[in-house]
Amino acid sequence: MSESTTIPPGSDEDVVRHRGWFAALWHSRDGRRGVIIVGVVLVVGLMGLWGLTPYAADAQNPASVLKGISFSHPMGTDQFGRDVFSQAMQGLGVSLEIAFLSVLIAGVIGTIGGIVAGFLGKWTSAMIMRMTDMMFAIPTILFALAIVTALGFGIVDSAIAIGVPWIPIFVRVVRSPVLALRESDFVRAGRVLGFSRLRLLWRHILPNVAGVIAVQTSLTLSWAIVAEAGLSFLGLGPPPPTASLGEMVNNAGSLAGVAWWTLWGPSLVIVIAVIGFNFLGDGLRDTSDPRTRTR
Amino acid sequence: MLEGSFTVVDIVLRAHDLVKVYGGRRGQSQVDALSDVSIALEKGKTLGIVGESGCGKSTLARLLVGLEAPSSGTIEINGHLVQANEHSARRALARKIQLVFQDPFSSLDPRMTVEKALAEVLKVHSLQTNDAVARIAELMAMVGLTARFASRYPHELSGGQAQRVAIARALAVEPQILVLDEPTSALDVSVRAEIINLLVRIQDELKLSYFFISHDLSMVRHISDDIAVMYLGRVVETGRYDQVFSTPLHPYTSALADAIPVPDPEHERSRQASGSDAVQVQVDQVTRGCPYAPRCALVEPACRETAPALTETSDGHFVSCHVALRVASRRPTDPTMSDAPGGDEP
Repeated sequence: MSESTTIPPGSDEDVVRHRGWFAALWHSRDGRRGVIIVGVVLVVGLMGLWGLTPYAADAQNPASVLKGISFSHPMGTDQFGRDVFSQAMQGLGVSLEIAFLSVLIAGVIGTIGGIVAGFLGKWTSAMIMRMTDMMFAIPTILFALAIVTALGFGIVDSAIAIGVPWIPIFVRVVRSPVLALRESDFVRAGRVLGFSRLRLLWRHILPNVAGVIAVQTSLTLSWAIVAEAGLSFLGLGPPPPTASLGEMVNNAGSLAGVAWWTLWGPSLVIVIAVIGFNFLGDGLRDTSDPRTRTR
Repeated sequence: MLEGSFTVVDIVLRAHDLVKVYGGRRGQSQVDALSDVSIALEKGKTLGIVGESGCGKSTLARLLVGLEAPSSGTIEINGHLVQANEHSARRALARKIQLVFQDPFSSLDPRMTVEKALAEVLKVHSLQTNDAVARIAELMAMVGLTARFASRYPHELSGGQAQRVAIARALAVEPQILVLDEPTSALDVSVRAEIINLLVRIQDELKLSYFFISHDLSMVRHISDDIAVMYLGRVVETGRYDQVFSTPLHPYTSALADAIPVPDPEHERSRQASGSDAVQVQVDQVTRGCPYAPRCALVEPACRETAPALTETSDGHFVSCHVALRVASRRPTDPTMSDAPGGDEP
């Protein structure tokens, strides 16, 4: 009997249903956590960026200096009477802006580099890989310091400083699956079928590394937030009066003994954002393969 | 079969003195994957290519479909020289010859449904653009799949179903030749016969010519008209299937024929008693002489000195073996050579 007739037509197994990638993400445990946390973080960050904060982020109020946690000040106030939560919202917004911009730089350049290095000939590949080796040899913080010193302290400068060191990581992460896919039977089959190299790259190889890229993007975002906080902690972030999470942590260092909330508030925001992007990355990793998406 | 054949036949593909060498640059060790392989495929017929792992079967398949260029030698399809170095030439070649892989799952893009995979082929070659849906249904029906498989991803298919999809995809470009690279080896035994029967039916319907590559002689037997036995990158014996396996001339062919399982315990016992040795010889170990000499039971001093040439013994039956050629020249017309090499162990 032909196996195509083993399942009687009209049975439950007759039609296989597939979830879209977002539905699949929502149905995975880590994915749903990530989507919710990142969603909240994005909304709060954007509100902070657009000035939709409970108080103006830089509004000083001598009447309520170093007030503890209360309904009116959920993260207390600092030594100038500024609302820590409003400042943290603005700082988060700036952090996200820099993080997304830096990951855009690293992701686009790194992915193109990785695909080219994986798909094209030995010479191009060797050139790109030696360049990434050279970039790996430079310590990330040193590189960021050099770029910020050379370019300035603006948002784009910070994004370049944070994004460029991540280019070689994207190159490597993308290159190895591309190398494997290039030699896979289905790409060979495509060559035998007369598909162009562009089609093989765009329609067959790229969709099969998209999951890897999405996961790496999400994880790099969480690292970029930490890196941005690190830079502004060292005083290399956007200059005052723009609030930034790292600078807030730095300033709170001397106050932590008397007003712990000034340290905990911005730190908590960093941790939540990082955890959110990590969950999202794990969720994407689990669901990026259509093999996991059959209902 | 080869050039020396007396019968006038319609040759659809002819490979002449194909050589494929890997490595050999900057101190790398050189591997001769194929050495002077000449084969010819008759229109509408099946040429079985058999041999053990590493004998060059799959390399030959890759050269035939243009995935790799031969180091030297030529391939002609319908009398036209194949040169697949440019994309336009590649596309034209794709319409003539297609490949079916051993592992059906790895040969299908895991992110494409059956329908999309077939539609892509039609689109690339601008075939049936106005009624692609009907053509896809037709292709699926041709390989025995109902329309409800159209929306499935490869991982939602069984091995046999996936191989049917791979066959349908190869047929989508309306090729004249299919290279079947062990198309049943990765499948359950229960499904193999179905796929073989499917291939035979399609061959009849579409007048296709097949290269059927396998190490499994019992599969080759069902489908092949002609057969080429390969050993370490060379064709050691070739001819009509019944010719080659009723009177195997080369000792390696005899060993292969002996290895066909027969569901008879008595036969099994006698087979084990005769025991063809299973020494594996690497390609690069053979420097001169007959490549089979290190394993051969009938080896003579001459075998270690000069490699025998592929020589015709009777109509269309070629062999490259000093001993077999001497025996055949002594009794050229006797089809039942009692002392055929490999028949009895010394």
